[in-house]
Amino acid sequence: MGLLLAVDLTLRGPTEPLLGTWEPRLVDWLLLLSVVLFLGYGVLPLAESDRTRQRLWTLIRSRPALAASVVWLAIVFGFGTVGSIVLGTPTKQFDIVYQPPAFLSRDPTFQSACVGPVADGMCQGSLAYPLGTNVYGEGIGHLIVSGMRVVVTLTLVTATILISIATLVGTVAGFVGGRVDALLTGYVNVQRTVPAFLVYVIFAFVTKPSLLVLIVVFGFLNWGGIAHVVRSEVKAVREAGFVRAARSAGAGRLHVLRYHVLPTIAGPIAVATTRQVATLILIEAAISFLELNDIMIRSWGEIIASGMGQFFPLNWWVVLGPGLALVATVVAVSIVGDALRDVFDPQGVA
Amino acid sequence: MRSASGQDRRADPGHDGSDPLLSVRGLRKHYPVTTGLLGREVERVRAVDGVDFDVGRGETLGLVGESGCGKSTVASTALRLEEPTDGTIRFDGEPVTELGDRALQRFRRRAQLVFQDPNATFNPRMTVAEAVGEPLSIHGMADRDRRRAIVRDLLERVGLDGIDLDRHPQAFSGGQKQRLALARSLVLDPDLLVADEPVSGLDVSVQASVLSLMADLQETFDLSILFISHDMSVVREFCDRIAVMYLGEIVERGPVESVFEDPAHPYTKALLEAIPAPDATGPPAEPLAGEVPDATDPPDGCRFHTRCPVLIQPEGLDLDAATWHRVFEFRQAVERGDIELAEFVDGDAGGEAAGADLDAALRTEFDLPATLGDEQAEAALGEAVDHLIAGDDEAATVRLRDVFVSPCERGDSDGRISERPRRDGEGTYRCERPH
Amino acid sequence: MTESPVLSVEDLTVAFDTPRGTLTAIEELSFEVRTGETVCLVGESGSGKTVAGETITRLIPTPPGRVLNGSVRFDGYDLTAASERELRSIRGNRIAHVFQNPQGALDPAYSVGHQVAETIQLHEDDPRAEDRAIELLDAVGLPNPGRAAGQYPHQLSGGVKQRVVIAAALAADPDVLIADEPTTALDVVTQAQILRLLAELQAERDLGVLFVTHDLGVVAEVADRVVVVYAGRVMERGPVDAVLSDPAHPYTRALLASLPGRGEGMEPLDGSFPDPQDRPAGCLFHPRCPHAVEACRESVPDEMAIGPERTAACIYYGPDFETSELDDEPGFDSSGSEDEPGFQASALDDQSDFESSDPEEDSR
Repeated sequence: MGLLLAVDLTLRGPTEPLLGTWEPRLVDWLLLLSVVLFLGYGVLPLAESDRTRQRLWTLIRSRPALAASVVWLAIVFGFGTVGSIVLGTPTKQFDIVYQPPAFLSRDPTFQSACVGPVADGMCQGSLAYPLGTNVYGEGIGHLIVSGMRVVVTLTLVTATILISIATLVGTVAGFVGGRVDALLTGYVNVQRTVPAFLVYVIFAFVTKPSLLVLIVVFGFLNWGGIAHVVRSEVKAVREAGFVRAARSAGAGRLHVLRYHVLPTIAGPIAVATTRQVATLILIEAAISFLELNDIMIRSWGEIIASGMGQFFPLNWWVVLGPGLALVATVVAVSIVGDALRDVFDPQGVA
Repeated sequence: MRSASGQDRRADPGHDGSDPLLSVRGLRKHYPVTTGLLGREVERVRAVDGVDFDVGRGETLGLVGESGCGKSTVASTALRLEEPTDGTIRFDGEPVTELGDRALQRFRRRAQLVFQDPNATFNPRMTVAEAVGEPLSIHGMADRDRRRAIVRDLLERVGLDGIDLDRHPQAFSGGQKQRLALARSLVLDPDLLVADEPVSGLDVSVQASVLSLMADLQETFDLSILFISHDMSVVREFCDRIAVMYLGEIVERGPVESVFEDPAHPYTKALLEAIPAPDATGPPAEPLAGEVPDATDPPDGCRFHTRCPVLIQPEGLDLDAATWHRVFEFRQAVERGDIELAEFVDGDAGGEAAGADLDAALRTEFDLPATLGDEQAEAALGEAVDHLIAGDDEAATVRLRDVFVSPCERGDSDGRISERPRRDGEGTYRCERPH
Repeated sequence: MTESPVLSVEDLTVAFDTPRGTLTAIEELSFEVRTGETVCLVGESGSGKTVAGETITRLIPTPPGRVLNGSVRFDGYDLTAASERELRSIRGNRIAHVFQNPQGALDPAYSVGHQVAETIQLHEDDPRAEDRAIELLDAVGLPNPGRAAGQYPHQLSGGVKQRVVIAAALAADPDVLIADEPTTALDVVTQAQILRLLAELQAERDLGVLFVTHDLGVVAEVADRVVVVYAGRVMERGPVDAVLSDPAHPYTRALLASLPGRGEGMEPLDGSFPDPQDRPAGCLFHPRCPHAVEACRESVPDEMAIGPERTAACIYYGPDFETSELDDEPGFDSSGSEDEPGFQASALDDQSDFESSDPEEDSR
């Protein structure tokens, strides 16, 4: 990845695309970084460990809701990263605006041309645009996929920032203790009173609204809760009998951190972070409604918001698809978050 | 059950014998109690306050005492898991207290700790293989298969062959967990094992098998063991020599059987008498009164003097033993501020009559006769009571201290009682009374 | 000491329903406590001794616990059938409990004097409750009871806390005291003090005491009669001197032989406690008994009378066997191998469920 970055910075001119039609921006680089970290430090070690694989598998089999959530998130993740690159951005075709979804028909008030068959004076949907099109003539299906990209970017990058800072601060505070701990905790308590949402809104007014700004604001302001959780866990582990046993066998701080502290905090971090992420997705949608987002970024919130214009509820298909996707994703994240806790905690009993 | 080592076991401080594996002198561990932002020290908890002992090669030294006496602190400071406030610790001749990091690592290979609570001693996330093999990986054995092989070998030696290495320790019973803990402590083939209440959390019948195992392991691995316990019976069964701790000090030490049969120190005697035994003959002796004092403010001189049933009378005082003890208790009650006159006042009688009544009431409460045999004593007591009635506790204390001060409260120039040899020449004890 | 039993437990059988099956905690347990005497229930982990004590006043949550059989007679009531109202009027008032951990029994938010007084108030409306509380604190040996009454549990040592708990237990002047390992968490000297205190109080108030413990030394000191329990069944019972000096049942013998520090060597007991869900057929102890024979596996032995008020549940005391065979070297090599790990490990996978429903398991 470093290679790509180097190549991009040196070889590429200001407007030349890098790979095909892909023009990576800062946000995209961050996404790439996050994906790499996520896979490298998160997914791969988990997949390697037989026990966690087994546990995850058992859990998935026993809970259908979890299975469904995992599948959905896999779709989102897969389409979000790869799909949107493959499909490219949706093209605006103003002549076929407001096509209804396949096998359904739309209200006659819509004037635009109809791609599908016409019956009883009502335009029918066609399989060319199975979920219909929106006000710009972009396919809803295509839009949902690009929305996935947004969600993936948003969540992964923010999660990376949150986890990194929270783990660092929480571990230091819990491990070192004393004045350092007091100082850090004091700071975190103050920071937690700052509402990220508000800060973003201010930024959006003052400068241009952008996804990157949202990510940065959220990522750098909301890690407090997670840090708090990390700190308590670290403290608990530090006092634990098995740490004392390890120390008496000659373990240094590093060993204790790597083999006892980190595995223990992985679970709580995952849970706390997924909560933040779920919230963030909803916040992004809310921001879109307030029209404080970058409307060039076609997030689901943006699509829904733009669909709730003058024709609503006649153009219901514009809202329903992305809306369902949004809800499904938030719910899925929560379910998986809870399941992660069970995966990491071997006994399941307190 | 004792170690079968043929070593000369009289490796007491100053005594000739083969050089000990672990030698501790003047060990102190104080915990400061601080207040305020700047951490100003208000008082200190004197958990360990001047402890000397040796653990000879191949022998088992038992360290006994009630909770709060500091024995667990001795374990953690001797292994430098906590830094001692003062004192020297020598392991195999080398001073442990000054070891640098690398040497400390080497030390840690040779001296291991086994804990009381088998539940807390294992990380619930680790499997048996990982947990028992952890010391190996800490000391650089990267080869996972080799570690597993060693773990398997050790598990066999502790009677747990055939268990699934990939289970978690929680799945096993208390006795088995303790065996796992023993296995873990032995993977590095240490020379010294410090066992802190290793069987206290186990059922009686399970204790026996774990102790039996430990004896076997000691033979096989040629271990020296520092065995810490509050259970005297277990120590008697398992140890060669014993050291009795009270409030941060060792008050008696010697070969186990000698100390048990012929205890020199009154506290040791009291401990032995307090042990309920299934084959006890006759009614149990009167238990020791009172509680262990606060470690932040230990009593002067002999720390046990506040509860000692054979406290020495000051010279020149001639009371019978029982009366002397009661007067001393009275003095302690006054000093503590425990006397609430209100409890003794009956109705609203006032003036002179009340004085005499109160005096009588107090004497009854503390089981003191109407007049003490000794003139000096009676004068002091009478005046002190008068002060009390007048509400002047301090004056009462002063007056009582004029006469009723035991030599046990003074000790040597450093305010402590020095150790002297026991009657049979084996071991020492710390008391003003002759053995 | 009067002859009539104040508390009488007969054939008590209690089980727990867990997701993994029904666990039998005690089975056909019978004993009685007379006024002024102390009966000890002795057993190790899984013996069911704590369940027995708590079932008497129905402190066991029922679900998942179930009294399958038997009766508990107290003052004309059958407590297994009594209504909740009747039980509440008996608990604390006529039958009081003292538990192992004073920490759990005392509320950290209230002064100890208040808590003792509260116990009094629960059963009678007495304006003098506070004063009586102080008197009780004095009766349990606290120096300066007036001051102690105003103190909070965290300011007191373990021994003092346990005295307070005893004071509260005696507040309503009960007839029976059920003490479950009251001194296990205390130092040996404090234990000796508390045991002596209990003995004095018992004599003063003519209490019947059911003392549950695992410590045979404590049994020797406090008990008049002892009931030895293993895996929920009675193995042996009798006057304490007789049982301890001349134990009849192989389990009692093995237990005494495994005690450390008696100067006679120490012999560990082979094997491990039975899995509560997979109890051995026949005599529960036979897998670990050095004298086990085929017949031991076939049926559960009845308690055979072996002396005045003495019984032992072992076929060797029945008509077909020579008791002296028990004194010989063990002939039959039972399945007792050291800690059969495979068996144990799988069995104890279920331990966690059992722990949540049987409080006994946690405290050895």
